[in-house]
Order: sequence, then structure tokens, then C-alpha cells
Amino acid sequence: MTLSQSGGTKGRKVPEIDLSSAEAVQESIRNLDYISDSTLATTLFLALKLEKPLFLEGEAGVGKTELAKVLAKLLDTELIRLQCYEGLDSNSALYEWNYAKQLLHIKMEEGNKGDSKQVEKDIFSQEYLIERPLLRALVRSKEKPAVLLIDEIDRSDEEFEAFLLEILSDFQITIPEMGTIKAVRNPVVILTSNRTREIHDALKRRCLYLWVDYPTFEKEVEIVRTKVPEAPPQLAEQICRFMAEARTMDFYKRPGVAETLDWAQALLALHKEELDADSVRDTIGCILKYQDDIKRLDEEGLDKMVATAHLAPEVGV
Amino acid sequence: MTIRPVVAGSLPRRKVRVPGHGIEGEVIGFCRVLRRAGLKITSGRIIDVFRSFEHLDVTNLDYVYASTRANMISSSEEISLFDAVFRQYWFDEQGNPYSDDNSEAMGDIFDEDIPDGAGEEGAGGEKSEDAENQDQKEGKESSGLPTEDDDAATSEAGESEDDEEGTPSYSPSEVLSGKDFSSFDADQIAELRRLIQKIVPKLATKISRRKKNDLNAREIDLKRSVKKSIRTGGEVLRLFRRRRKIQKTQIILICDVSGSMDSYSQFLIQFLYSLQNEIKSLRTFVFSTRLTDATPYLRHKDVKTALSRLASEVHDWSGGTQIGNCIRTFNYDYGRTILNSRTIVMIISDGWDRGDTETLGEEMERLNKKCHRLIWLNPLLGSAGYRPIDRGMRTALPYCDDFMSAHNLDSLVEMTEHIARI
Repeated sequence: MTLSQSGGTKGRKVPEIDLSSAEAVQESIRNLDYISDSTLATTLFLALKLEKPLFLEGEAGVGKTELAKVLAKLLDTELIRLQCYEGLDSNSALYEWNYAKQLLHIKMEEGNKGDSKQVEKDIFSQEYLIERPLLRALVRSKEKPAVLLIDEIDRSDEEFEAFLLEILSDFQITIPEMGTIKAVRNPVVILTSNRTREIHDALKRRCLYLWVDYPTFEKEVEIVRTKVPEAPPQLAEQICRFMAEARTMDFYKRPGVAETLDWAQALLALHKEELDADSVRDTIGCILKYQDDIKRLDEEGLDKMVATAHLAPEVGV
Repeated sequence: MTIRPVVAGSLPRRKVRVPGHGIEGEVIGFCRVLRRAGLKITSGRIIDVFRSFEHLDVTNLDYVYASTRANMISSSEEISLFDAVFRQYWFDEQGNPYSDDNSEAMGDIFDEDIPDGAGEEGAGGEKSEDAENQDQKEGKESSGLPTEDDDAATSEAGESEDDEEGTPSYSPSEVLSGKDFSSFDADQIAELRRLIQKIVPKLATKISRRKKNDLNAREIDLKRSVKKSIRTGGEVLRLFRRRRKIQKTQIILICDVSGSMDSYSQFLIQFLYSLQNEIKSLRTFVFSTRLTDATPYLRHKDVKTALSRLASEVHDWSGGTQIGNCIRTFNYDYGRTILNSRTIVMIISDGWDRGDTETLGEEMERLNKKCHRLIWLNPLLGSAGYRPIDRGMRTALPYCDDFMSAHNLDSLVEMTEHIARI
């Protein structure tokens, strides 16, 4: 932790990671089982180079949070996660004093007839400070920048957004009792949103924006083959073709990649070599989470979709 | 040579570039086109694009695409617009990227509508200003992009349509000044005002998840208590307490004054007027085919003056309905600035819409996301046997948090009680 009086942020060096180009980034995260495309890889690469926060939006289950995890692995650093919710305040996001410990200390000092000034100094020291994610991200970014994941920012409220804006622009925090704490290196910041509400423009403008879409059929097959390598190739393809079709339908909650992987695991556990209508019905809970959606799928011809999933072998990878 | 604006159209034919400045010139030209197309391009963003280029092989268009896109847009809605402009700017009509060779030759040329690629150089750069302007105008009209002209054109078209074919449910034109408001007697008005005074405090508050200090509250604020106890040598002599903050909400009324709402107008106007005078921060909008901010007119002390001023401003009073377009206008012109998570939006309308239901659905969704609570008051709901099955209402309903009736005082009482329970 650095207590700095001078504000020299400018001369800070870009983190030294062997990620010299966008292709290298794509290749490296591919090695960590994250299948990306060139736009995603380039944007990620730029976020690292420009030290700008990365703002990820997309439907639930397309791998936004996963990207942050992979990035932390890639940089071989700590992933610090801040899950947002309405009413999230600085006590849970930034820091909090350990009151119980402070009280104990005060009680113990009572007998010593100590100087109350000294007591105050003691109890407002680092020992009594509980680091919350934002502070921890600043403190831990020393030799290597930490990866700070601010997850589901759309769940927080505007007060928190404004507060975040301040932190993200300077990467420093002032604790009245201690002074200003500044990051040695800027942490790599990833914000995700499921778009349940609009995030303020001012915050978005500070970030690189990336819309994470559902993967193409080919990409998804690759993802399934990577993540569930035991799955027979034809099953993987059929699952992905079925999912691609299902995503065109008007569901309350459309299934994401996470659901595809769950489903592949489930079918594998049932020792299925190929997709058939009965096993789809039995395992439908893996991909659709609302009764209305399941009903709709059944009405709109589940059997036909299964049949379609078996066709089109020429599209295979 | 100057850069001429290009509006993204169906697909590319023209190209703007700043010759002799290499990739920088290209990018600046591109940014201007993007800005022209309606994206928010700040100089900070342009600087970041150039910072990005330091790390990338800019001869590869994939990188140019990814880096400009990441820097220039901030929502998924902007992607399709960005993609269209990008295609137009960086690719020729065959979908091939402009290579260095032909870009030299092209210079600042606006290509004419010549289908084969061979004609590209032949088109020449000597088009007159008029021809270019003409060209741009056409581009604008044919484009599917939301330009101001487009909007104006749509609303005009909408109006003239209404004049011509007014169906019975959308009653013919009638101006406000011709209506007799005095039929609403003094007692009723007084009652309405009393009622509104009751509604307001209930509507205007939301319990925040944030806390504020309050010595009479139940929850003990340990942090403050401990901190303050240091003065007394660590002995906690006084407990500090806190409670949930109550936030003021902002209410926005969007009221349908189209023909089909005529029979409720008298009542509605009184309602709007009384509400406006009770809650100073209230914003009132009225619409039929166009949206008008009625707030300044309704603020007048005298109800008659207020209403005649409003009537002179709202020209399409009792006209047709285009709810979707009006909500869209609201979202675009006002939504960004006045909506937040503490805003309650009340739409008062029968939901009979002649506009495009797709727009209505999209805009309702957008509105719903941006406000705290979206309440739809439908006076028809009070009549026996009414079901919200007409197109407009059916489209809008899934995005409303509450759907209530508002045809008389009783229904308003009911509404108040409902909201109080929330």
C-alpha cells in the first residue's frame, strides 16, 4: 500500500505482460479454453494497453464473467470481484473499519490510562481496516495489476455509479483517518451488465465497450468441444444446432452458452450419443428455466427441431 | 479540400477521405461521418482510437474495426449503425476494402451510381455543389436512420393521414377552446384536489436502500457510535441510529389527448392541472400524434388561462393516436435527462394506437428500463367487459408495472390505495 502525497499517475508503466498483439491475446485465452473472435480479442488487448476499463454487455450466460476469470488467469493475478446490488455502499465496496476489534482495543487500553490520542491513532491503522473489493484492487495491484470484476453493474443504483466514476478516473481512494491510497498500477477493470437498466453515459464513455453476442454455430461447437471434450462430436453439433434454433424463438429467457454447456454435461451423463426428442424433454430444464418457455418449445415442435438438429451435416466444423 | 458529410444509407457508394494524411486522415473522416450519423464522438474518444492504433497493425481492417468500435459506441443499439457506416466508409460497393492503390486515385471523389467497379475512377471529381446536395438529400431520405428530417416527415405524414381518414373511434378534430369545462362543478374540483393531495405524498416517495442518521430509528449505527465514543475514551455513552432514507420520486405524466379519449378529457385536464399545481417537480406531457411538454402551460394559476394556453399550443388535440412515436420522442428528447431510477411514469391513455406497434413495444421496453415504475392508467378499464385486447394496449401491457383504471374519482381512490400498498 502506498500512502502518497504526490499525484504522479502519468508516468506509470504499462503492465509487462507477454501479450504483444491482439492475435497473441486471442491465442493465449484460447489456450485457457476461452473461444473468442477477433473483435473480442482486439478489444481486450486494447483494454490492457490503454488501461481503460472494459464494459461488457450481453445477454445472461454468454461468458462475460468468465472472460474476467480467464483474464485473471492469463495475467496470473488475483481476481477481485465486486457483485453489485441495489444499495451497495462504500462500506461494502470500498472499506470498513473493524468496529468490534476497535472496541476491544479501546476497552483494553482503558486500564492502561493511556493517551486517548494514541488510542485513536492505533485503532485507525491498517490493522483495523477491512479491505473491500475496490480498495483491495488498488492495494493488490503492485508488481502485477489485479483484475477487478465489477459484476452486474446494472443492479446497483445511481449513487454507486457516480461513486465508481470517481474511483475509475483516478484509481485512488481517500480514507479520512489515514490519507490517500493510490494504486501503484492501475488494476484491469471489467464491468459487466445484463442490461436490466441503462447505465449512465458518463460511466460508459470512460470504458471500452464490447457487446458479447451469442456465439456462431461453429464457435459454439468449438466451445462445447473444448469445455466438454468427452462429448461425441455429432452430439456437440446437434446440441449447438438445436440451441441456435432455440435462440431464434421468442423466449422469456433465451438460453446462453452456460446453458449449452450444462446441457452437454447432462446428456453426457445420460450416455447419449445423439440427440433424441425424449432425452431433450427429460433434460429441458438445463436450457429453459421458465415453465412458459418449456410449454412454448413443446408447442412449436420440439420433435421437428430435434430432426433439424440432425440434418445439415455439411455445416459441420 | 473539405470533408463532406455522408449519411449512412442502404449501402455504400460514396466515400469521404482526407487525402495525404494516411490512416489519421481516414480515421478523422470516419469519425465525422459517425458523428453525422448520430453517434456521440468526443475528442477523447478519437484520441483513444489513435492511442489504440499505436498498438495495432492498422493495415488490417479487422483491427481498425474492433478498435474504433470499442471506442466509439456505448450501447448495443449503436452496433448496427456503426457497422453500416463502417461498411460504407471502408469498403467499396463490391464489399472489398479500399486498397492503397485505388484510394490514391480516388482522392476526394464522390462516386456516381455506376454499378461496375471499372467506372469508379471514371466518375471524376467535378460534380457541382447542387448535385452533391441533391445527392445527400436523397441519401438521407432513403436511409433507415433516425435523422431529424425523417422524424419530421413521419409525423407530418401521420397528421395528414389523420385528417383524411378519421374512423369513428378517433373522433374528428375538435379544439380545446370549444369545450365546456365549467360542467365540472366546484365541489367535484375541490374533491379532486383533496384526493390529489392525498395521492401525492404516497406517490412521491420511495424507500431507499441507503441509510441516513436518525436518533429515533431502531437500527444502531455502529460505525458512528464507535467513532463518537472515542471522544469519551472509548465508552459508548450514546448510541447513534440510522434508518432507510426516503427518497423523493419524480413523477412524469404522459397523457393521451387524442380523439378516442375525448369523453374523459374534461376530467383528465382537471386532473393534470391539479396534479401540476400540487407537485411542482411534476412534468406533464400530452400527446396524440405529437408529444408536447405541457408543464409550462399548466403551471398558470388560473385554470382557464392555463387551459387556453395549452390548447393554443397543442394543435392536434383530439386527433389520432401514435403512442409508439410519441413515447419514442419522449425517450429520445427527454428520457435521457429526466428519467432515473426514482421516476414514476404514468401514461394515461386508452391504448388505441394507429401507429406502429413494433415501435411501441420497443419504446415501452426502453421506458420501463429507465424508470422506477411505469403505470398505465386506462379509463376504459372502468367500463364493464373491457379487455385490453386491442393491438396497442396488448403490446404495451407487458412493460407496465401497473395497469389501472382512471375514469372517475373512485378509481383514483383505488389507485392511490394500490400504490400505497406497493
